Amino acid sequence: MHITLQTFRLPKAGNTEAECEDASWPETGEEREAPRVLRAAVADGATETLFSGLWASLLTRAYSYAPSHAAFLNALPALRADWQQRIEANPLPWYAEEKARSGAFATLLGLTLKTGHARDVTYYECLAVGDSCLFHMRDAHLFRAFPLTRAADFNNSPYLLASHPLRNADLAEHLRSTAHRAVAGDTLLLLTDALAHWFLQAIEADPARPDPLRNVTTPDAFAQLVQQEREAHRLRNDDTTLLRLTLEAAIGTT
Amino acid sequence: MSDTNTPVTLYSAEISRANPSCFLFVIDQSGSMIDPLPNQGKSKAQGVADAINRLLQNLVIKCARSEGMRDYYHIGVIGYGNDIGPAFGGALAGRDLVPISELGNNPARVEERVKKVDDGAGGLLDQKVKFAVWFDAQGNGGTPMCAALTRAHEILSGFLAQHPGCFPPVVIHITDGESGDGNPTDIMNQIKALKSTDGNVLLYNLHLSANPNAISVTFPDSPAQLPDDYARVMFAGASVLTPFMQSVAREQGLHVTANSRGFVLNADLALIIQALEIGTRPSNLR
Repeated sequence: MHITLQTFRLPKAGNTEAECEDASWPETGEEREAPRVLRAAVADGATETLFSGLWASLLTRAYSYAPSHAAFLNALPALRADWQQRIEANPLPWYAEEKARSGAFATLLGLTLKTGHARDVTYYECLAVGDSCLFHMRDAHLFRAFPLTRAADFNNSPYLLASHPLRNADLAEHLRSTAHRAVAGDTLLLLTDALAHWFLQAIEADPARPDPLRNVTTPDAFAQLVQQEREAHRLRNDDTTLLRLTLEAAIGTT
Repeated sequence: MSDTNTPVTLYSAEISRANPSCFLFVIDQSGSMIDPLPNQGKSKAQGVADAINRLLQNLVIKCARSEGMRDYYHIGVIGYGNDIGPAFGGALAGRDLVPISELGNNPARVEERVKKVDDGAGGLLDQKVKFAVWFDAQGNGGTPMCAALTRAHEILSGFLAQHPGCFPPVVIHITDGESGDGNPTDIMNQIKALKSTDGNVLLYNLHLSANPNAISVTFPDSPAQLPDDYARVMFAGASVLTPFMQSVAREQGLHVTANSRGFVLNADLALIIQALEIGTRPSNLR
C-alpha cells in the first residue's frame, strides 16, 4: 500500500496562524511506501480554555508515538505534567493564572493503520474523544463516518480530553473507538469539528454528491474553499483542519 | 458569495476583535446603599462592589487567551451618587469605555483569597486564588438614576455609531431602585430601543433590596413575587431574555419562560457572563 498524507489548516478568520488551536500529526504532508504501521491524529483545542493549542499539539504527537491506544491513555498523566510544566515556565498575569487553573481541553481523533501481507488491503483503528471526525471514503462517496454520523449530532459543548485529571474522571464513558478494513483507492479524512459539520451537511443535502473535499489538493485550494464557505455562512468560522490519507496500490501491484 | 437562503437571526453576530461588543455597567453609589441587605451581613453598597468586581473578573477571564487578552468587549462603568460619571479609578480614571485588556491589566488591586476545591477523593482542599478588585463599597449623595441612565444612552449611541453591526451591547444596572430624579421607565425604554443590525440593546437590572420581605428571585416572568414598587419598576424595565439566554438558564436548572426578564433580586448575574458565546465550551468544564 502506498499512502499519501496531506494536512491543511486554516485559523479562524480574524485570528493569526499562531493563534490557531487545532493540531495535527504529522504536521506536514508526507508519503509512505508500505508502512507496517502508520499513525496520524488531529486535535482541536477548545477556545474557551487557555493553552489548549499546546494541549492539542501534545496529544496528537503523543498519540502518533504511542504503540497502542492503551499506551496512549496510560501516557495521559505524563502529558498533563508536561503541559503544566510548560505553562508554568513563565510568570502569568492574574487572569491567565486563574483561567489556566481550569486546565486546557481538546478533542482527539487518532488513526492507526496496520498493513498485513495483502498489498492492497489495510486495517485501521480509530480513537476519538469529542467531535473531530473520521470520514472513510470509497469511490469518492462516504462509506463510514466516526464518531459522529449526522450533522445534527454536533453541539457547542462536547466532552473533551482535559489537562486536569479531575475533569476526565469519567473519560472511559466518553471514549469512542472503531476498527475497519480499507482498500487501495479509499481515502480517509480526519477533520476538526467545523469542517466535519459542513462536510456532513453537504452530503446530507445531496447524498449522491461525491467527496466535497476531493478538489482540495493544495493549501491555496483549501483556503479558498474554507473562505468561500465561511462567507456563505455554510461553514462556521472556527479553526479548521483537514488531514487526508490517500491509499493506493503499492508500486508493482495492480 | 452569499447565501440568500440564510435567515436573519438576531443576537447572532460574531464577537471578535474586529467587531467587538460592549458591556456597560451602571452602578448605584448613593447614600441609601449603606443600608444592610437582609440576612447577608453586608450593606447594599458592599453587595454592589462584590457584584461588579465578580462580573468584571468573569468578563476578563472570559477574554483571556494564551497570548494575553483579546479585546472582544469594550467596558464602561458609570457610577451615580454624589456625581455621575465614569467610576474607574487609577490609570482608567475618567474614561467612558475601555478595551477589556486595559481593564484586565489595571485592577485597583489583586487580592489572594482561599477557596475550597474538590480534592478528587471526596474531600476539600484549600486553594489560593487571585481575586481582582476594581471597586470598593461606596455610598453617599443622592440617587440621580435617570441622569445616569441618560449618560449610558449617550455612551451606547456613540458605540453603536462606531460599531453598527456589533452583537448588541449589554447594560447591567445594579441598584436598590430608589431613584431620586424621577421614574426611570422612559429612559430604560429608550436604552432598550437602541439597536445594532443584530438586535436591540439588552438591559439587565440587578436589584438589591433591603426590604425584609425580599426573597432571592432570578429571571422572573411576572412581578408577582416582588416586594415593592422599586422592584416592579426594575422588573418592567429589564429586557426579555433572548432565546439563547433562556436555553442557557434552563441548562443551569433555572425555571424560565419566553416572558422571563433579565432581572434578578438579591441574586447574582454571573450566568450572563457564563452564557457569552465566544467559542467551544467543554461539557466537562463547569
